[in-house]
Amino acid sequence: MKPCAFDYEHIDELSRACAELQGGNARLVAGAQSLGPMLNLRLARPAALLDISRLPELRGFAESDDGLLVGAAVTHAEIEDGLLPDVTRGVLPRVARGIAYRAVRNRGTIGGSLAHADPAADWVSCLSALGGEVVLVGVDGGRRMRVRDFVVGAFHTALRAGELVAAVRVPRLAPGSRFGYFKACRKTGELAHAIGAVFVDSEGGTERVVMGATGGRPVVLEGEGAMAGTGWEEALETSAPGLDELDRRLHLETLRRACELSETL
Amino acid sequence: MKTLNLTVNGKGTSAAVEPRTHLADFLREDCLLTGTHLGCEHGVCGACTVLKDGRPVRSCLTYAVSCEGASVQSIEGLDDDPLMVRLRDSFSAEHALQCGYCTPGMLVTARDIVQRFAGQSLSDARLRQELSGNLCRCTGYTGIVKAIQRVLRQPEELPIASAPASTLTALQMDHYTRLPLEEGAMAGPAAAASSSDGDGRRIEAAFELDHPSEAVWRALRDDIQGTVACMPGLELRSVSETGEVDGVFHVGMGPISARIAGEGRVVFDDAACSGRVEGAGKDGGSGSRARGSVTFTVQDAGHGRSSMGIVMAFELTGALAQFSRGSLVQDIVRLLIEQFRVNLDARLRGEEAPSGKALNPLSLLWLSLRSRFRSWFGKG
Ligand SMILES: Cc1cc2nc3c(=O)[nH]c(=O)nc-3n(C[C@H](O)[C@H](O)[C@H](O)COP(=O)(O)OP(=O)(O)OC[C@H]3O[C@@H](n4cnc5c(N)ncnc54)[C@H](O)[C@@H]3O)c2cc1C
Ligand code: FES
Ligand code: FES
Repeated sequence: MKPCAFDYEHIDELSRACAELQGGNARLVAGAQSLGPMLNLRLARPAALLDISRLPELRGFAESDDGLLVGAAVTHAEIEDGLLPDVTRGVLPRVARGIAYRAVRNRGTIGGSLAHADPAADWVSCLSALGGEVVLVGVDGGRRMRVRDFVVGAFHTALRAGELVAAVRVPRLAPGSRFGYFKACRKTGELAHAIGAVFVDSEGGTERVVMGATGGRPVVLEGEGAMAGTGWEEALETSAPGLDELDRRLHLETLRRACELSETL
Repeated sequence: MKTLNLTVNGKGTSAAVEPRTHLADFLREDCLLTGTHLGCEHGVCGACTVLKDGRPVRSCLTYAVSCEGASVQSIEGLDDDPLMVRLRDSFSAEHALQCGYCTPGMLVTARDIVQRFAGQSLSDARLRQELSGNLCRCTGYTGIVKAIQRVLRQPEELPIASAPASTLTALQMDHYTRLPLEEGAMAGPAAAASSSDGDGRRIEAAFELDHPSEAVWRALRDDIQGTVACMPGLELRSVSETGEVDGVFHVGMGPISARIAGEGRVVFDDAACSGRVEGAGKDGGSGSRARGSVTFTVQDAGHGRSSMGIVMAFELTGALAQFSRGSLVQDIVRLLIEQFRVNLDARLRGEEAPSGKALNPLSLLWLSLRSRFRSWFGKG
């Protein structure tokens, strides 16, 4: 099947993207790696696409003492290839490499992935664990949100009309912190059936585990002992009550493996 | 139509294309380069992989208009490429193809792997991971893996040009860090449980309302249109005296917007204070079909309150079903039911009838703020 007809425009200024998003049935497109399939199947039928994949303001980074701002249109492959300053001691490139396939990673973007908010997306779980944030810019200015708050549910974010994800903020990870990530899928590169992510920074007093790909927003547990596993079942029960027994066990086991395989950075 | 200027296999090309034309169709239909094959058209099979500015991309997920100014190489453009010549010979030697359907995409991917890993030793397992985005349905991968290893293991034969690097620039983004950090305002999950039910899915949910059960039942029973208006995205076009209904359900989830039009029946059981709506419909745009039922029961919960139980059972087929992994649909239904509860509650309090728009992020945000307020004020 081919997509319904749409208009198409290259956007070269951030403010124009916001202005044009406000009215009508226009939709942003970055890598088109999630939107494309939906267009091709005619599940999405926007009147126009606004292509932000070459927008200079989204195609770079800014490093600071406490972390890194990554432009929304930076691709998974660019992260995989280490084109960003490595503030995460290898975590971002490693997670990027596990996303889809090289040809998809060459076009799919970190901002598009978060805005799309597929619960099974790798950046959603990974950045929720690391304490990442999104920078949202709209016609009336901007705001920041933690990734775990930004993703409200399956394919739903806190984005408002006329707003876009401009950048993603990744904290600088201290030496000696621990990270573990495990993605359960039947075939390499496909979207996960379950994701487990764990991040511990003993000096900074952070201990966080994430159960991702539950079908809704990521289930995050925080605080001392989060890794121990005692609260996991209850958290899953409250935050993702609809899972059947098999899925519940898959999520618990996936997180257990993420903890077991976690490494000091 | 848009005018497109790009380089195809080294030749400057200018053409008028419809924005919806993807690169694979442009290459095949407009440039008559039929070496690029289409399998799935949603990024999974890899048959359509071509090079854009030297990097492999899915031509089925790359719109031709997005290639303005780019250099595209299809398998035909790599005829004389020294590395491709070696790969082709190696594919023949190792019996790495039979029908050849996957081969153009396989070769383009193989070339990229050899470029990126030239001079390194790559385990077969890792090579298979790198190849996992290209499906071969007849040869099997053993020969393909051997063929690529053969080329990788003889880097001295010809210097291998490295894969083109892309560039990222340092940007001035200081002002972003000074933006306010907004706290999340999450709606708690409705008590919903789901199970698969034959081919379909069954979701149960329950919530309490701060209104007596008779009032709730009367409101539901006597004003079907009003009740339906509480369900985001649902719109009744007609209701007959005998309970035949005709309506439309607008499903909005992220970029997906389906419009399922169909017919059904409503039956009420006054004695049990329960009702059932059954129906089936079709989304003309994507050709997806849905059928299902909603059963709801109102019970007295004491102290002037009532509880409402909802059971939804449904089955989806077609494109919509592909994107509706069970747990996703469930999260969306959870949000729908939560919004229905908020709207119904407002209606019972005599507030303005809610709009029948599809579930959308804005109303969701409003919804989550509402539940936040409720918990602040001790009612959640
Ligand atoms: C075969 C295949 C396998 C995949 N496997 C995985 C996987 O294992 N793990 C994984 O995480 N992902 C996977 N993906 C998805 C992939 O990572 C996508 O690149 C990503 O989810 C979306 O990024 P994009 O830039 O392509 O966004 P697009 O498809 O261009 O856009 C997606 C949505 O986000 C919106 N949008 C885009 N950019 C912005 C922005 N800056 N601000 C606001 N809204 C925006 C668009 O309007 C659209 O609604 C897979 C995709 C394919 C095709
Ligand atoms: S046709 Fe493009 S990946 Fe299958
Ligand atoms: S050679 Fe037939 S599909 Fe691969």
